[in-house]
Amino acid sequence: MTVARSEDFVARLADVARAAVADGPARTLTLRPAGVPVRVHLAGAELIDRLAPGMLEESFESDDRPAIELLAFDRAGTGRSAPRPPWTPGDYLQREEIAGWTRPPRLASYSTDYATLSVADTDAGLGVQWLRDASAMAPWEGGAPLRSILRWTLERHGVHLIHAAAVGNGTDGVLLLGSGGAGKSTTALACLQAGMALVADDYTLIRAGSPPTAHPAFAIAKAAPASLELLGGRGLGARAAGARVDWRGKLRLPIADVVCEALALRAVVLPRVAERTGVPVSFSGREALRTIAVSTLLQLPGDSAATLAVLRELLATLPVYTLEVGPDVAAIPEAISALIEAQAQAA
Amino acid sequence: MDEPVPLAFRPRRPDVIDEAFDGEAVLVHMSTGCYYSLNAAGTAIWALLQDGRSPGSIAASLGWDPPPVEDFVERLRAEDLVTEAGADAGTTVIDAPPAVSEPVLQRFSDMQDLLMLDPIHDIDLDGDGWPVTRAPAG
Repeated sequence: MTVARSEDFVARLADVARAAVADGPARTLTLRPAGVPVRVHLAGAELIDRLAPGMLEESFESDDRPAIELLAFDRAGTGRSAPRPPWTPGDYLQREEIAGWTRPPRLASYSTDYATLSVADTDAGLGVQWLRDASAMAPWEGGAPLRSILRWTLERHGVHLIHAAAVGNGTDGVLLLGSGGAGKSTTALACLQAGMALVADDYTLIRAGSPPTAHPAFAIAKAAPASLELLGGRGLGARAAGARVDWRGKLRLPIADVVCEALALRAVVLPRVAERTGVPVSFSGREALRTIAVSTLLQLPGDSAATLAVLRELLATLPVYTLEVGPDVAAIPEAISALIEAQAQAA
Repeated sequence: MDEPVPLAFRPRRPDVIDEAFDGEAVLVHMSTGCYYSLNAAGTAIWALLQDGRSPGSIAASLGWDPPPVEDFVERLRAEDLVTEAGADAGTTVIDAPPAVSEPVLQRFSDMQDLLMLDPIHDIDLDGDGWPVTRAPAG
């Protein structure tokens, strides 16, 4: 078996993707995640149908030039396969990583379960995703489309995609960190329901600074039917009508029209599901890093050292609190709002 | 006969990633799913290991007795957090080593299952050189 050259694999895969885009069906979108101009080309009808709704489209400004180009296509929809990989079968690692492709400038991941390849050349600002069959893509893909190649290529621009939610008052906000099931989404949606600003409920873009800022990455939030019931379902209930259901039975809610473009982060909050909602309690940033680092890293293959460094920076520079969240969800936005107000005044 | 050269060690990269926080380090072993918390003394030793150092050289740099340092490095080795680095090549100096010289390595394995969920054993390739899709677990 011949092993293809590593150096130009991303470029060769991108060439195949561009040919697929030229043949159609295809769709081109523009995004500005955290202000970085990104052009996305999708090819294959099923792939477009599944990925485009999760993307937060935004027109380029007049002087924008795309800093990043992302391409995605599938074999079933376009008839085009990826070139033979430049690695060997022994290079496929756990967590979908590929040996020798875990750090910039060349990153790659491959899901053997869903036959999905993601590769990026961060020096070139280029990312490509290829799937064998878009109709068999991972069930979470549509809620956070192209998240790996978006994350890898944005790092070069000082923007970090992390597994976190962010809510606020429109200007200032908090970052919600925790493993799956900790209560991030419920907290985020309770705040949205109460009229607060929502940046994201699952994946948030962070731009380092003083203070660091949070920005939305995707156009979808997810909510368990039980959470919607707790939340009363008023505004969110209307969004839930006709929403797709994901693999965990959660509804995918379109939020592109309500997401807040930027929040100055004033604190990190670690929600914990409890019998009733409490008040924020100060917590050790170092302890927070130890308890959430691995679950946060597990969400995103590749470049783990960069994610750990971002987490450390956030937890070292922002005050950290725990917040018990219970079924009395109306108390959640009150607790978060009071915290944001106090921290913004202190700043 | 020449004295045997003491073995030097360095962090196992890229499997092990770390960040120091308030003088105490968090280590994550991305291959085993275990993570670790080091106290200030352990963090000082870890900082010196970055260059590839022997336990004796680290103890001399810190002004500490060698045995606790040797035991600690052996513990790091047993956890597969360090790898042999050949000869001692370290030059890093810690200006104010912590007064407490009893290094502590706390191990956490509660997230290990999540990492071990998807081990890659035998990969079969299709005609294009890509892994044959397996049925997703569950």
